Amino acid sequence: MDKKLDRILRIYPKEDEKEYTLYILCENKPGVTANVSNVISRRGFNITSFIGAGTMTDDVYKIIIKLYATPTGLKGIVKQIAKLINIIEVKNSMSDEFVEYEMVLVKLTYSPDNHGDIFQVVNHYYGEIVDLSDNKLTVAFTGTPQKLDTILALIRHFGILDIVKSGIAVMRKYEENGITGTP
Amino acid sequence: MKKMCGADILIQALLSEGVTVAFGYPGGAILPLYDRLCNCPIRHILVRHEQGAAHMADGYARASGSVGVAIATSGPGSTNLVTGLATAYLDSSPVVAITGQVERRFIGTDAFQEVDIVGITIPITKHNEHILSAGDIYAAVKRAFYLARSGRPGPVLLDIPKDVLMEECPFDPRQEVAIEGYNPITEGHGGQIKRAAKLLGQAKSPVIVAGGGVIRSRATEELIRLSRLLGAPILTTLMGKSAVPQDFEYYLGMIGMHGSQAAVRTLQNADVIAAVGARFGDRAVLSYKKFEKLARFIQIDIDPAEIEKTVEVDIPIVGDANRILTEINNRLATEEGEAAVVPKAVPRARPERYEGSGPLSIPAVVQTLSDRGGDCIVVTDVGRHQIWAAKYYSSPNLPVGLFITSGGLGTMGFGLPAALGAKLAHPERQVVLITGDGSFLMNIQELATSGHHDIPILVVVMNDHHLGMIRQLQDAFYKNNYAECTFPPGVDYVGLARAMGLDGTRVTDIGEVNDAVDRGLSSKKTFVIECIIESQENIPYQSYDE
Ligand SMILES: Cc1ncc(C[n+]2csc(CCOP(=O)(O)OP(=O)(O)O)c2C)c(N)n1
Ligand SMILES: [Mg+2]
Repeated sequence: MDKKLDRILRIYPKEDEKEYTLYILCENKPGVTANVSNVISRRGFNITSFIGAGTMTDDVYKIIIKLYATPTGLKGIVKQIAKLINIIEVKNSMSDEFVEYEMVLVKLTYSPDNHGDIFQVVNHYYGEIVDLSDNKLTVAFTGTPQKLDTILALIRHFGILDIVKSGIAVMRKYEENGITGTP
Repeated sequence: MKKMCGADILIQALLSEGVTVAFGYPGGAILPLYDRLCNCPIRHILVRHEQGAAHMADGYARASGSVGVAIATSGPGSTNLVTGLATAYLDSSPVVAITGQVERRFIGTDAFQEVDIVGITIPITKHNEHILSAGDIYAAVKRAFYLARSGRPGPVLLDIPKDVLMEECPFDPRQEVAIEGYNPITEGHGGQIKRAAKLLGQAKSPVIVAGGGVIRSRATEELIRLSRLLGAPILTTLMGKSAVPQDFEYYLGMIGMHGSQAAVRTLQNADVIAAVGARFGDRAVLSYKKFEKLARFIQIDIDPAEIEKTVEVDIPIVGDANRILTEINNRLATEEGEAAVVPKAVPRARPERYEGSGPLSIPAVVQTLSDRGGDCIVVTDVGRHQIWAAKYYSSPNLPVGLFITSGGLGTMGFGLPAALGAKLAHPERQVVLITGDGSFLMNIQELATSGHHDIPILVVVMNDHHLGMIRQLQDAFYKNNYAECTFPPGVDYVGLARAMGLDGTRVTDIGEVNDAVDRGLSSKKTFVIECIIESQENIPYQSYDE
């Protein structure tokens, strides 16, 4: 644990960090995302993925955050986020309770020489060619974060010029209410 | 429907919330409001610095229990409110701040006096909002007042562009103030209340720790009832200092770093500790490690985020302290409950007394003030004088909830403006400000406000020619290296008061204090007593080690 965290958590028991996922339903008002991320960052925890988008209900917004935190730290974060005025609901889960999906755009150096190797990976993982120009190729892959990690490992040696990840979309397996934004 | 400009709608909203006084300072972006404010029944107190406006609104709120209003212009006017808002936030005081903003078309262009005050105040307000159309003003103000005073109170800031204040729009006062994600819990959980009553009833030596929440929820009567039912001593935090009358038979003083020894020992010997509206702050707890081992804990707080924030508790109850205490008491007061209560000896309140003699010292002056037995509101600044005041000011007539101090943020300069705000909340009462030479100078300009608006208070400046608390820390932790903590003599505080059109007198001997206070209390203007303090006595530290 680094120094800063150590200081912040000095009154809490020493704990290891784990990855958590937060689902947040909120009113679609300016400043909500700033408020939420502030609660996390001021405690010295790091966000690994942050996505926000509308829901089936107008004016209701869904934010999904993945972060590393200690269990005690997370408890505080959840309570403080719940306390924010424009927040409707906050839930946190561990990994076995949800499905995760992500999209990644990769730009590769392309030449007729490596055409075959590249397309073997692209076809095998159902990649979609979204742009091709002279010596650059942009492909979109979708899948679980673990699958995308594998793909990236396989194509790394082709020469990756740029990567953009969508952030991880997460859905709880066992629940319908709340998360869709429809009561 | 009648059309009105944004400024008029704002004033209608303030009036509908029962606002009679507001503290502020004009500037370009907020002028459309001032243009209309002078024709309305709200009394505007023109401060001399916006920080003063925020602290006055805070002092007014703490003393009256209703929302205090501060007004400032955009840019520097709004940033000057920041310390005051943070002070109110940490002590859960209901304040609504209204700031002017540059016109909508200039937002984001770094226009003259544009500052993102909503961004700046995110972590120090309970809520804040930009209002981007005149049609939104009324509902936003109603919402702001509701948020500021309900649940755990706190400051709310509304930022309104100049052209929104001037915009004409139809005015409809019948607007709903629903906030979907905000439902403060007031009623405690029945099962938890039952468990708490049982645990308390069976405890051999229960103690009650009362924090600022007792004052905010006006729960003193039920707290006293609980204490008598159980025969349990009441200890307070700094914020809870005036939660019970100082001569209440079970009141044993303040816990924490500079608390009373009796209180800390009582805490140590407890088997059940019921914390009511107290947030287990680091200064109150002394050592989290040792504190957690002391006893079994019951925590009553209106803010779910306070539950187990720092200390693990056995029985948490979220809700309004007054309601929860009432229910616990009702349970204990039944025959069944009474039978379950283990009888205990009645402790006798022994308010700490300062017995030291020698050259004029801060605690001696505080003891003299306390011995007068007055029913003044007491306001303090921040430093050694603050802690001495909390330790030794124990007039039995100190009104409940009216020992006003910046506990959470420890803001030097809070005292004078907060005292003026408190006086406006209770014009019929006398207000005594106990301040230090350092703190007093931080918002000294508000003496002019006191003269201008005829708000008389009594100021007792403990002039020890030191940032005394800094010196104490340097004694304790920096091998007496007194770096930058002394003020050379030469500042004449009585002269300062006179220069502001007020009056005062200097005191160098303890025997002169009472006469000076008599003079001050009968003065029609604010009166400054400068006590030349010779002693550099430090406040004792408490610990759990015997
Ligand atoms: C705005 C602000 N700046 C700095 C501090 C740090 N500080 C705490 S107490 C203190 C000294 C206060 O001096 P004074 O008002 O003279 O009171 P004394 O301790 O001498 O009684 C200082 C500098 C503070 N609390 N607030
Ligand atoms: Mg001093």
